[in-house]
Amino acid sequence: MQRNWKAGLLFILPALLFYMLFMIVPYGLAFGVSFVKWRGVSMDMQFFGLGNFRMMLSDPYFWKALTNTIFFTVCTGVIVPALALYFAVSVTRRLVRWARFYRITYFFPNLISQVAIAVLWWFALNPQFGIFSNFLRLFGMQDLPSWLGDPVWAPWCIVVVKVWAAVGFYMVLYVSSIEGIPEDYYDACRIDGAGEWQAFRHVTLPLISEMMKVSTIFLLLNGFGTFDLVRIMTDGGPDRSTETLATYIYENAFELGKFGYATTIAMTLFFITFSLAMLSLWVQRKQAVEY
Amino acid sequence: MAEVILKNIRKVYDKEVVAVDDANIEVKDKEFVVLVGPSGCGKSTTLRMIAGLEEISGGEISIDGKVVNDVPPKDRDIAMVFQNYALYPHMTVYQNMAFGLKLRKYPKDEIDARVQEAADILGIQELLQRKPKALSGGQRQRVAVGRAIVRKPKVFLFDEPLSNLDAKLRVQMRAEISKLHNRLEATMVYVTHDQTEAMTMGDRIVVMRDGLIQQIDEPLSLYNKPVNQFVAGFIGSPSMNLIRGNLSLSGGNLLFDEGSVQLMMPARYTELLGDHVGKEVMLGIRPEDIHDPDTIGRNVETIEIEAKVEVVEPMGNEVFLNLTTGETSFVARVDPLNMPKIDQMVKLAVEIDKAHFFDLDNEKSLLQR
Repeated sequence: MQRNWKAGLLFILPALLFYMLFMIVPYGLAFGVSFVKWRGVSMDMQFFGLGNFRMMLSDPYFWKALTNTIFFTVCTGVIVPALALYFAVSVTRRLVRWARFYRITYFFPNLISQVAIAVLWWFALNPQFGIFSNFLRLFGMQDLPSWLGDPVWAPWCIVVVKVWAAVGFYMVLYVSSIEGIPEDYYDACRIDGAGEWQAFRHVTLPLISEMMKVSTIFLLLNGFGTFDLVRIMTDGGPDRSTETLATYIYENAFELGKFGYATTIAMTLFFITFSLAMLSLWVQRKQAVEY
Repeated sequence: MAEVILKNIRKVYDKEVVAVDDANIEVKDKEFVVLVGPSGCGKSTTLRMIAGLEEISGGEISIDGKVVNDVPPKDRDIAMVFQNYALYPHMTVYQNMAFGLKLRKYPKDEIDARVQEAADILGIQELLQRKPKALSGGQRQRVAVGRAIVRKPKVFLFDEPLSNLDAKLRVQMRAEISKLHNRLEATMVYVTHDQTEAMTMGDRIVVMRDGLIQQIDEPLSLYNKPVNQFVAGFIGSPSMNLIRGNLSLSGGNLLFDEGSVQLMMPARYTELLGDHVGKEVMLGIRPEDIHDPDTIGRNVETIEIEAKVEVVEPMGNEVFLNLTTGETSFVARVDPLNMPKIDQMVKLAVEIDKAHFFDLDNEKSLLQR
């Protein structure tokens, strides 16, 4: 047994060293940096103790960024699974015609980079020449807001784009999960007296619940890392209404030269996402349903 | 309970693949009818059309006198047992059995009573709180039957429910389903590809092939009076021996000549097969109608032939001999007392009165018995 353990260690050693070098060590260094004042351009560091953490807790912009991040995370964590599930059920249970067409169309945004998506939507949401405003004008709506320039509308625009970009991927995940459910269950359900809704409630939903849980955790983790869409579409504005922790970290580190402070926020974000990852493992510990 | 009537039922997939064509079946009240045939013959499709799980392309299905062509499965008052049991994996046995009643909003007390009653009948009381994954194949099968019983439907439909069980359990469950039929006095339609299941369970059997009904009859009638070569070959195990040969007249009697085997037929065959003199026909003889001459009774009319033993399959109470004479291979089912050796030449007595003859073109039986 002892020999087996040593042999096992030998096999995982290369991967373990790689992981240590590029994951654990940088995280450890970052953890250290969060206790210093550092501008990031030289090795000149001043120990600051818990000063960065105290500063963070009393920083209204940090709290604003955290609130916005939670808002984006919760919105996408709720809307994306709900919509993706609706589309997945529609195409797999053949509730719509042209199901194959929809499958490909909804997945399409996943083939485009987040940057391209952000630029595309930035144009689409332009109050003057954007397709969205022009479309609404066709129905006589003239007094339209500046979507990305309005502190009330801008966060919702980010949510819409995030949902648009993510829903296809999760739809495909759910489709594969639903297609794994034997058709006999639906036949038995129909004979038992269930309609389409009851079949969904009593067969589809319980049997893909594991996939739903895991995908929701992924979405939460992804939500806390919201950066590229916001950075390109609004740069955190207007009036910090779309600022997220990730964009605020970037701003502090690379625009304000406060690497120590930025790292402190990054560590906080790390502990939040790490907790969510632990939650994910806890959720997945339950055995999957066996057919 | 109720009768099920299928009139000119047709099922076509994608406007060109005909799965079932012009099927006419009358299942009487309390009758146990078995649909049997090889894979792809349309038997499961027919059952699913009765259940309402498949739309019909033509014809009319009625249950208990009511046309149900456009009635959804839940309103047909049927219950179905599936090949893979289709027990909901996230529900306990109790919940699986109660599910249909719950959807129909039965009072909780009645659901309890019905589930307990079904569990008593099937002997699964101790399994009620288990999930399907904690059950053996046989137990799952019982639960699937239990789920059908609790509903007290007009018609029970079984879609190859024993296919996933091992041979021993299959025999046991076969008997249990038959007992259940007698106890519930229910109308049952049962699909299987296993002719033994069909023969042992059905009041009547519907033999299907390529979407067409070949014959509907009681088990022994099917066995003794197959209307065509397919039914003759499908029913019975080992299968009926089919030997192609010429019919000619010799001294007033018919002679079946295969080349290496010549069989002089009794006089009465001359009248029955007279129209086919000079033509090629297919002779069918069941393995159990080829005997060891030493063990056959004196009053049985036989023709003796000689053949070489190729394979010996001892079954305990009987022996299957794979034999050849010239180019012709056939199987005999004989008594194990005088078990021959491989390559040995043996004399056999063919019980010629049990022979069948089939037309080579349309495969129909030439004997009007």
